[in-house]
Amino acid sequence: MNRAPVPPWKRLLERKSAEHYRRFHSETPTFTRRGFLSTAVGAAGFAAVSQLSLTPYAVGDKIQTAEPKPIPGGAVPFGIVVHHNPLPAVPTTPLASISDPSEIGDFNGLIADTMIRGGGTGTGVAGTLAYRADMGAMQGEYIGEDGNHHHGSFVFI
Amino acid sequence: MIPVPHDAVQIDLDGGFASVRMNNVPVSDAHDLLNNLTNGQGFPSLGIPPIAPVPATVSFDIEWSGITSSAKIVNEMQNFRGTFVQTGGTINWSAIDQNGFAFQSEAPNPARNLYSVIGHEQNGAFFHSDGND
Repeated sequence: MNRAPVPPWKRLLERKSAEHYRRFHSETPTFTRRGFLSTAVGAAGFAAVSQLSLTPYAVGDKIQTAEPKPIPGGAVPFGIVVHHNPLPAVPTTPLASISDPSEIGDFNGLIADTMIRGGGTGTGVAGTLAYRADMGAMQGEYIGEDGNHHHGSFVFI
Repeated sequence: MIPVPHDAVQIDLDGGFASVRMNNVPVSDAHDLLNNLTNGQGFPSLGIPPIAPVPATVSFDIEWSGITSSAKIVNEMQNFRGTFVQTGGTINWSAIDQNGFAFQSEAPNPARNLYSVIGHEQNGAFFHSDGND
């Protein structure tokens, strides 16, 4: 098998780890907001918006795995590149037309990806909160940032 | 994206079944999409103010089942190929932030699925491989 050179992608988990510790383990915390979900009243009632960034699960659980590389490209909301291709929001979209559902580049393995919407309840909020989940998993072989082959399981939220 | 224990992810492509189950995953709640994309800097041109993220945890149980279509994809533009099946999907999702605000999704409901996919793929350096992992 040909082994492609490793492109100089940013180090995803390292960046997320640094971000987490800068935000949540600084000696001078700056958090002022309560919210986990923000709500807005619309024609259909409450709509919930929650945008979650992942913290380094591996740090706490000592999951040893090499850092993967992101796929090149992805979606570009508001001009900002995100290395993720959301699934279609229309169920009748032909399966053959989906974009790469993996978030990991140089990947050979199984993926499970989903786009689900629904409702729920929130503390102190009367009525239904709407949500949409764009989540999935990857499990298999990949070429890590270190240029070596690894196996691992990953989840994106 | 986070590394997780192997047994948190179960995927059976031939059977059209998969599950992802995790509890109390630490996350940063960025409040809204644009503050997430800009790491809390907001998006002034759209009137979105900067909002600092808060620590939170989420738990979820996602299931894929029931094949509705299948396809072999070779996408040279995106440099990926694989065998994929479209399935039904359900989710049970909950979250709680550092201040005690909690969210609990409704009971898993197959009618809420928009699009769910299971696949075995190769991309990037593996695009031209035989797919055996």
